[in-house]
Amino acid sequence: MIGWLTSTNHKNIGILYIVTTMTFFVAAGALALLIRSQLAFPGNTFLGPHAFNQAFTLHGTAMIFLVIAPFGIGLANYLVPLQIGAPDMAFPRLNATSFWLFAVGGLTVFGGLLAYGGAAATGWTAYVPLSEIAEGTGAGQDLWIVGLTLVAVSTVLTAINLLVTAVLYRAPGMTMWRMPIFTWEVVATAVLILMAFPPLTAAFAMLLIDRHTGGHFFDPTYGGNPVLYQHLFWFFGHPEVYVMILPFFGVVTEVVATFSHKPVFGYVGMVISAFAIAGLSIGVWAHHMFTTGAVSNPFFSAVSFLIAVPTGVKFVNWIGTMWKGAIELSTAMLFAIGFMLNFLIGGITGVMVASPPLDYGAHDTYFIVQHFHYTIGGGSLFALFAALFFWFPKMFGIRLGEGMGKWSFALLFVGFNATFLPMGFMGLEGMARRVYTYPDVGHLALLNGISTAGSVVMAVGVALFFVNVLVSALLAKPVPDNPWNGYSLEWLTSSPPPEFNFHTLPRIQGKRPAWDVASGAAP
Amino acid sequence: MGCGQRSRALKTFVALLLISGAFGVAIAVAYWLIAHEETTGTALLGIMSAALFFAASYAIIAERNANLAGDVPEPQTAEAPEDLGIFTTHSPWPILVALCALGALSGVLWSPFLAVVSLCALLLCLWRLGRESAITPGSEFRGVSRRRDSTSTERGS
Ligand SMILES: [Cu+2]
Repeated sequence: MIGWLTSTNHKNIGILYIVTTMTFFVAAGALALLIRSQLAFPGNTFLGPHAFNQAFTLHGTAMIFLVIAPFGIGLANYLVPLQIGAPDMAFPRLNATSFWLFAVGGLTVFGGLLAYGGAAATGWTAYVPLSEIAEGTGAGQDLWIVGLTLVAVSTVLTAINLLVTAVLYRAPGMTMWRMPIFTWEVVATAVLILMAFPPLTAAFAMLLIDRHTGGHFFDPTYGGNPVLYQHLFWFFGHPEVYVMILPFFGVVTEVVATFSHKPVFGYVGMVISAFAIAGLSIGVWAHHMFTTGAVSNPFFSAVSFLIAVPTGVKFVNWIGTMWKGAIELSTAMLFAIGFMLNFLIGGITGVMVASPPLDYGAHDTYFIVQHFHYTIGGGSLFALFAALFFWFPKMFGIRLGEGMGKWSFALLFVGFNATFLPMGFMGLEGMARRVYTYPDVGHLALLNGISTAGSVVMAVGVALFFVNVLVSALLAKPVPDNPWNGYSLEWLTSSPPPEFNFHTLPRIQGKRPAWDVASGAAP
Repeated sequence: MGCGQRSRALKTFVALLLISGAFGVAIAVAYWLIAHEETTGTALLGIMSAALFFAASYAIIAERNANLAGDVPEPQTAEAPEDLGIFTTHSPWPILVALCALGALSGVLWSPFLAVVSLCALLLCLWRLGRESAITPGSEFRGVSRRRDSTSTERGS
């Protein structure tokens, strides 16, 4: 126990990240079920408005700041040193500090539930003036700000650590153009974090000053500007979407290549598109602010459309990798394919709402809720499960049950689409997001019924995953070091790897050291 | 092979950073021309470009002296990663730093006493962490200087 609390080894910290994020995932998922129960039928009073506000605020905050983004960081923590042949991260103590700042910050956000007046209830965006009004946003809101500030600092520290590790700590022969795509995506993510997170910390500091020390940054009666908060928040917020997706693009690339038994198609294109997405994503933040009338809609619309190009490159490369490959439909591969199908819908609806005339109609409706859940839920979350099934044997030396895993996938895929596809139509019928109930008009009752039923199916799929983990741990069937015939360096060490990752490093002569060793091309 | 060839991979990274910076400037110019406004937005884009150029220049300076093992495309021998240096495996300070940071931030809001105490404890923990890092034998990164002689036969000294 003390060993885990004080460990600075990157693999332990990676596992701590993964276990912590999965715990927050269960909490955030339970909140989602509460939200869907309230919305199951029109005029429901299961949750009152204030409880509903807290539920969707904590659900969104947790999924974004405490589940998807830190899972990617945790996975990077575990994998990047292994993939480049380093003994650990560059700064192990800093790494542990990052994790504990994250864990303490996350608990602080949830600690708001114990506060007088309840947890934060102003949405994951905490827009002013709502988040500045004293009544109804008491200690819960403050704890939210304090907790997320710690998480933001932790994320920046990890980004520095990952960047230094990937650039400086590569093993002999592991030139940058031989790094696996996952590591490249992590490098792009780290650069993006360094650009995007400081404005968020600044916004939080200004919010605290306004709330507690009589500041007026966002208060127009004293010459402040509420739209400034939106600028600062979304200058972080849109890149954050890509912080939540780029590592998972890397996961999908590795899984697709391994289970198509082919090298990654378009390696250079994959790397360049990652940096193009990272670069473009910094220039699009005001597409969240089209309806404020305070931003240049044509500019932000055009740049937002452009992001579809490098994202399209990735799709072409994944399909190119699968093309004529000997595709093996393992659970990880199924989740990767599910990712592609869902993320495609998320991407296409994204292009739709990047058009200001359409966005004026869709803004603050369930159409937006559908759009981002298809990118983050259908996209990143599916890739998260792909990663767990793919690297679980490496991390723990045992394999997750494939049969149960496929059932999990089926339930999650059907449940996910049943939950979120109807939301697009709810939005088109004008159902507003973040409102605790709705009238019985149009098809809203039917659509919401389907959506709630879908969320229950998803919950069963998630529960089955945890049963799978438990059963696999009890059976503890040992696996070979490279059970999937993966190509990258981590598959050449034992499962789980020794303390400093490799007892002897193979000679690295190309992008696919494990395949080189298997074919006898390298010792 | 020459030194220039060895640092090629790091140059790739510098080039990627510079291209991103140039891209930021292009975006800022386009924004200025289309939006006709000098708002927070332009300032933020300026900061972004400045940050990227700072990172790139920093990388250039670092790259000048870099002779990284990872940049040698045809390593002569496979080496154990332990050669890079001994890494610490446990430290009590990170978790204490996190708890003190929480105490300091909460203290600023609700209790000046807590803030002062936590801040002092935080500084103490950071100092202990730094000291521990400095005195652990071999914990410093020896890769760069070590790799300088990696072509020579001297080994395991
Ligand atoms: Cu966006």
